[in-house]
Amino acid sequence: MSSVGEPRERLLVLALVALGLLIAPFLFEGDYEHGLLVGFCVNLLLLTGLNLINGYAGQVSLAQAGFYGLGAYVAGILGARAIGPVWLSFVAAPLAVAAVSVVVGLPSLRLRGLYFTMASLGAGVVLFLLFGRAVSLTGGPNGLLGVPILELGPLVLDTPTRIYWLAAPLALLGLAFAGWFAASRWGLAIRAAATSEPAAAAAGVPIFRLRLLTFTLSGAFAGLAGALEVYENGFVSPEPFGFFAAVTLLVVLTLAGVGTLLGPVVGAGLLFAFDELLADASDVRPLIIGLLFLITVQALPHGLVGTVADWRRGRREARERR
Amino acid sequence: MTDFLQLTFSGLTTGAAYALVALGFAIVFRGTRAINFAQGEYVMLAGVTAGALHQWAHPPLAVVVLAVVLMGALCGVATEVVCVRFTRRPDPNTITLATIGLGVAIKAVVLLATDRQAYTLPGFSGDATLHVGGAVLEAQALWNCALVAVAAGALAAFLRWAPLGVALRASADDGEMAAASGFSRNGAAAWSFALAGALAAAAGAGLAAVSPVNYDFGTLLGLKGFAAAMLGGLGSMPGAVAGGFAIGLTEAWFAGYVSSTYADVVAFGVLLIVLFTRPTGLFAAVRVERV
Amino acid sequence: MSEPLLELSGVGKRYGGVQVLRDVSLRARAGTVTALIGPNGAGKSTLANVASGIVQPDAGTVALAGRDVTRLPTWRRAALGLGRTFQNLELFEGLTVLENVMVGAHAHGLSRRARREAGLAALERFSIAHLAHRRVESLSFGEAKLVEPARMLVGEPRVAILDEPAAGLPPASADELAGRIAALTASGLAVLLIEHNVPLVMDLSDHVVVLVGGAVLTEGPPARVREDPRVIDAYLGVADE
Repeated sequence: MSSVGEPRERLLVLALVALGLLIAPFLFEGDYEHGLLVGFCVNLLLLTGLNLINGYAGQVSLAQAGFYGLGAYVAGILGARAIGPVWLSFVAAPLAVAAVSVVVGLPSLRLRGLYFTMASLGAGVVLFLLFGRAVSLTGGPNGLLGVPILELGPLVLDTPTRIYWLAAPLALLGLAFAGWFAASRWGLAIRAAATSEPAAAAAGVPIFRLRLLTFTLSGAFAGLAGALEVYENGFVSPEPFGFFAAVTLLVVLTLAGVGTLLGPVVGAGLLFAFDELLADASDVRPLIIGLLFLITVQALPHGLVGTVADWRRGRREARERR
Repeated sequence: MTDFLQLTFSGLTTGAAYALVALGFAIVFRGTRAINFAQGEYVMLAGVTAGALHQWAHPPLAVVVLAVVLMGALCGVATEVVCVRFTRRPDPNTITLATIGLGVAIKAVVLLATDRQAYTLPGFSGDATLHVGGAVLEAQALWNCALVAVAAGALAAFLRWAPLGVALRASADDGEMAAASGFSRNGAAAWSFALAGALAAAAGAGLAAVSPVNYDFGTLLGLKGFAAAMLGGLGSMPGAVAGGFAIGLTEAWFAGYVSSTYADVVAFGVLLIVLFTRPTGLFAAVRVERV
Repeated sequence: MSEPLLELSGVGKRYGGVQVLRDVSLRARAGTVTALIGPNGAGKSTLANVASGIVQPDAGTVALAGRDVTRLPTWRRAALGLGRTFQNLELFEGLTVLENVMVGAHAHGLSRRARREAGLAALERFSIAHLAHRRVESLSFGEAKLVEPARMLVGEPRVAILDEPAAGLPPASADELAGRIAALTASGLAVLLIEHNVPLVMDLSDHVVVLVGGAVLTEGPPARVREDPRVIDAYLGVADE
């Protein structure tokens, strides 16, 4: 169940996030910490994108991790092989992933619910396997080396701090775009179609096209996230883009609140917390993720943000009725 | 010719495992319309447990196999309890997602318990091998295929004659989601999960007897087994077996003749092709709605 | 006679071994109410689905204001002026009442403000504007029943297919509904009314089509159809009001 607040509420959320992003690097100083903050922004982009197809369009996708990896590898390979200027690789990544999303989405989005999820799973796994197997192109399981420093025109982003000042505005813009999209005519249309396809069609909504558009947008977000990630790390390997990564994204977004504006923010925060708290116990992490998913999917389907929103609304309506 | 035979034998071995896993998917799908993503992890759990049991106590092989099959069935029931019975809304989507979470958790538990150690079972006929046309066929491969035959036969009999089985068969024709909650109540969902667990355990034991297994080998296997089930037609038993062997053989031939690096991709390529062209699979058992 | 805004010609549909619709032709003309009646299983819903594009016919055509739309998907027909309500409430759960009806304006490319105003206006027409910001799940049955027609009207349709709009309504509400339907036609809308409530149909419609066993048994003005012995036999049972 998706919810789009009033414009005022959305603006407030964005302002708070902007504020948070602005002061964070001053609260946590140091290259390592700023690297983590870049990670937060990357995850925010990923989850914002996933939220579009998952939350607003209501189609559960397990391809986001694969798309993320594709963006990273496209940017990384173009950069490492010096194919064009560095900034081109950065721009090419989301575009390439968007194109692949269209190719994957065209046949997949014709399928109902669970079957779409399966198709997205298949696509994600194929991408993951290719990352590891196409050794001459990607460096295989050992990863891709030789990724250069990110240079955008005169700007040389050679430290995590500098990359953060690119990542944070991008993440904020992404969130703002998502909020605008959800409240727009198309956002309303796909949210409606997620609950009743016959009625939406009867109202004139071109469901398939809009879903394809949404899926493509979510891919573009993933591609951008990947490009940021590869330039922040200077390196990319297949590991973070497999089945478990796709599940993690899904879990975290579901737990945070699918179909809400704050959901991706809370989700990125959750990922941050997991990474930090479980840094020394990385074997425990899958257990926690798995159990959390199990519980969330059954007991808390609207996630944290969604449940709070439901509760607030329930109170408001009770008040109105009196 | 030798190469071809060798590849074919290899394909039959893995195909048998895929077939058993696919049968598990098929039967759970029939009972609940959901896809049990913990299936691959059941296989892994059984294989690792069998290997550990053998290493620890050296009981007779038959005992080990029976023990893990029983454990697999119990795992299945536990899954049903956790993912279906106590769910607020037991619809296929929610159940499927819940099994994904459970699968991840099971794998993590095994990782924590075994710390990446690999286990193995002795072959059911020791190290016996056959020589056919210059190629080596491990006796275990035949055992695994036999397991598939026995399992498929038992399932077929169950579906045809046992009252619960007939009910499960009927559910394939009934598209109503309400059937899922109805089944929960009379335990047919539990049965389908239990059967799936038992099948997976058999596959796990069979695989452990072929090569060492550890916490990791279940995930990809489960996904490929799912691809096999989709190829055969989700919900179709003969389809699952056919799909399993089809993918196993195709994978082996591909590895031998085209590229061994990309062999793993074959199963998923097949999955995508099936979903995009004929989602009902080869032996359409259930109608798949398209937008 | 005004022009037929919706025209089905020779429509046939087969499901498995059953011929559900057989050479069905009907016309809904501007500013009139054409009723489609018939016993359960006669194929009324299927016909509605063929007309709106949810189901593709095996034979025959569907035309909207003279334009062949048989191969067009539902949403395109909606954009061309075909509106529809559903027998089982098809509301957008999780959205407010106002959001529900605003979806109806999707095809028009209006600004957010214009869509809001159109939505509120439609809700006004059905006297439920005060419910605009309530979640649609929280409405009573009677209130919820009005949301779909309001949503349909926002799309400014030229043809309206109403699928059992009176189902489940108490007699007083059914009368009110009849009044609303009559008002719709005043603006030139062509209404295809699928209904079980025979008295309502007979009072309201200008033309009645009787569907039995997938084929048109007869059609004509209500008075004549009501007296037709074949109709009474097949459908109305003992000659009744």
